[in-house]
Amino acid sequence: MTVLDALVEIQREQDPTLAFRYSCRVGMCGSCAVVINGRERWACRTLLASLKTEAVTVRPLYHFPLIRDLVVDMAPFAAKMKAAGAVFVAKEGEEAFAPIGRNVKERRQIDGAIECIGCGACLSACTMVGWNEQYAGPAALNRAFTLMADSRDGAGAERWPLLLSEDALVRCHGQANCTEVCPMELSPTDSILKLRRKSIFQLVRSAHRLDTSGATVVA
Amino acid sequence: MALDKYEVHEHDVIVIGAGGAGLRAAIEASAQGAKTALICKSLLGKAHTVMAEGGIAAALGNVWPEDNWKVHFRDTMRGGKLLNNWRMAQLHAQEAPDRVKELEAWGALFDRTPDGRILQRDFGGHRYARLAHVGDRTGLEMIRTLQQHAVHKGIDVFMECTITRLLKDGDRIAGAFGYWRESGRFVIFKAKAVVLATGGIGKIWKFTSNSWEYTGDGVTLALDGGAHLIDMECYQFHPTGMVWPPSVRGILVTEGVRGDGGTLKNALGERFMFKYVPEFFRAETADTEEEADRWYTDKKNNRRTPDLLPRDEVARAINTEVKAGRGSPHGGVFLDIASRRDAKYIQRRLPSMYHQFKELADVDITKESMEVGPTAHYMNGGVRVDADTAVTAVPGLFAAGEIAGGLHGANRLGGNSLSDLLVFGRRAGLYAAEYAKNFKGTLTVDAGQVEALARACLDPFERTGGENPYAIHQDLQECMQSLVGIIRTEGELKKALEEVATLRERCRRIKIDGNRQYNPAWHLALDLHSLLTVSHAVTLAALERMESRGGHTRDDYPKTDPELGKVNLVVRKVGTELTVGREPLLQMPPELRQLLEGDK
Ligand SMILES: Cc1cc2nc3c(=O)[nH]c(=O)nc-3n(C[C@H](O)[C@H](O)[C@H](O)COP(=O)(O)OP(=O)(O)OC[C@H]3O[C@@H](n4cnc5c(N)ncnc54)[C@H](O)[C@@H]3O)c2cc1C
Ligand code: SF4
Repeated sequence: MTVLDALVEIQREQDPTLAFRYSCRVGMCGSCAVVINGRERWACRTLLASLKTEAVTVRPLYHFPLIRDLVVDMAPFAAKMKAAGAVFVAKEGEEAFAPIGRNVKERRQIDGAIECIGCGACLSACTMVGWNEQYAGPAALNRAFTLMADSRDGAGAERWPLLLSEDALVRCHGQANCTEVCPMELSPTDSILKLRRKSIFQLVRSAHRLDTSGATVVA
Repeated sequence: MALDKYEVHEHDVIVIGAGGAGLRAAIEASAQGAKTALICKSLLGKAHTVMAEGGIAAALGNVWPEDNWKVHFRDTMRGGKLLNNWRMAQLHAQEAPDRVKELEAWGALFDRTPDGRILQRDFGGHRYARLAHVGDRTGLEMIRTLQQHAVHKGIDVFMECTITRLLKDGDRIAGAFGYWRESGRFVIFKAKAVVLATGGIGKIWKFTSNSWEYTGDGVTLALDGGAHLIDMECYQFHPTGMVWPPSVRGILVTEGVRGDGGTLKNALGERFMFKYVPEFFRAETADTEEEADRWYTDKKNNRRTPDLLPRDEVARAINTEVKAGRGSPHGGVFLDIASRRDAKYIQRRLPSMYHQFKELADVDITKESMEVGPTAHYMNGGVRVDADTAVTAVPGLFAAGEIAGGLHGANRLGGNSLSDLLVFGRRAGLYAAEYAKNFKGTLTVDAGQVEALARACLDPFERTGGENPYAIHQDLQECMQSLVGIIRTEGELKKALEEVATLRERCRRIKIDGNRQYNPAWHLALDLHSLLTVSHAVTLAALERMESRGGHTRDDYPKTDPELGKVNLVVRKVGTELTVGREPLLQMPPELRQLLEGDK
């Protein structure tokens, strides 16, 4: 029996009004992430037996406004995506369909980080998100990473200032709590590190450009 | 005016449903300049479409240059036992490749052939490898891509907002009425055109691969609003769902397991599918285990394994084996890939299945057989629409995606749903926007009607009855599972009609505790109207089709009846009653008919 089954049974038998979200039951939709015995997990894929405790505690995700019972307001998740410019914008003038091979480095990088189901577990686990509401957080930066690696994307120039702002890449302290809880076994930590590495080149380039144009460099 | 106390939004076009079809419709309507709203009852990105694994069918011709729209058209019609709307099948086959390429232009990334083109995979009923895919998470990629594109386009999105009724001004659509799940407050959307894209009805059965959202709301909105349904009796049961443990019963086991070498066995260890090859498919199906096994590696010189017959055939065969007492311990049959492929191969090819069984059933599919049985999966029929414009019988009301009937006839081929969503989602959005643009009159929403709807919704809080909505839903699922399942008979169908009527009576006594804020018991109480309406419609149509065809099997009429092969069954709401009638199929032009007759 999974934690989700238990919740459903409680809803049916004991408290018909108990509020929680779920949809697909098979770990594809990312609706049912909650904090189970102190750790972010997906309720549909967590067997009660695997928890090995007499009583199991379930609470709503951290760092999201509570609506009721286990249901939280997911609006911050979308807002953070926006703040990190984590939206694909096709390159101007490029042929609509640009091939990316099947075993090239670009493709491998994207594939390794693309399977985010938007569950929010990583935001709940991230202490830096807890400290600073403005911080874009792991899921959005992870998505931004896949876009920055994608040669078909044309929004890099607009995205860099967002990523280099004080509420993005620099905020991550590399504690890897996000990576530990991600049910899809993604590593936002890794994506953030790689983006940072890229950003160094970017900083050098943009500082150079700004210098020659006579504008002031904003730290 | 009395509407003042409600939250009111005004748009040219509203799209109800944010799966593949709804998103694509909204993108198109907005691109045409219509002020567009997108409304969904779960969170954006969580629609059923996200679960699709196998892929999207489109005759791109990347893997087999021989493939083209004509072959895809033929396969779709044959799979649908020719009950299909031929024009939809034609448009679908012709336009699917463009819709897939367009997804890539918006950021999706499909798997690749060695030379960098979109890779395609084999699936049941498709002559050539035709399914574009992204590993086994095609739906996730599709939803993310469409959603980001839609949000980027500035479409107004209303999430966790359930629509319970369409609003009309005379014959025309005038908008929709619903409530916010979070606050329980009512909301009115005024609109010139409405697109329904709410998906299917699988939650009327006990064992289903569908998510909680599939309560048949859109189908019911359409019926209540004056639109018509077709082919409701032809529901698709997927042959392989999980059967154990009870809590996961119904969850899908992908056709890919059999595609990659898995075989079905009964309790005696027999590969029983060899006993169930119908005449129609005999010439193209292997008749010995040796030939079937060779087919996996040499498709040119061997015929296809009967394990991969169309879904309706396999589902019926499993059902028969279980009824004959040759099933597995928990009432299914065995699906064995462990003894046929090595562990590495299985884990590489079927990672989600491996994890699904390991985590949910504690079964290691590289070592043990899976237990599987049929599960409710897909609504082949649905709301009747015009092929080109997706408009229903009601002016201003459009429908696309799983909710719309016609394309698939009596049985859908795997992969033909995702392509359906894009092709007809786009068309619905396009023509809804055009309709809205050309509409010059004014539309009024009747305040009295809204008042009555609101009161009816709140009724369950006021009552003294002691009925629990979960119990009624459970009883409905038991009823549909045992009486309107894969194999049907007149007596059982009639009994089901009676039971559905009794359940409707019980609904009048539902009492909801607590308040309106995110109250799931109240949400279900309101959904029950849809669940019961679609159950009724399916049962009526199943009674009327006195033959067996595609997804519809009658024990008392086991053969196909050529006369019934010439008609669709149409369900309407007349007053408060549902009626069913026969209507002739659309006539196919000779040049298309020829495509079907070319080779059988
Ligand atoms: C496990 C599984 C695997 C599948 N794999 C494949 C595959 O590989 N290939 C393929 O072609 N097909 C596949 N299918 C079928 C396919 O996924 C679905 O038919 C398709 O996704 C339906 O899409 P849709 O846009 O019509 O509706 P959905 O994606 O279901 O969206 C429905 C939308 O309507 C909204 N809604 C519903 N009721 C209301 C209401 N009252 N008010 C407001 N909003 C409402 C929901 O919130 C949701 O946003 C699969 C199905 C399942 C279950
Ligand atoms: S990165 Fe992982 S944990 Fe974070 S939202 Fe995506 S799937 Fe969930």
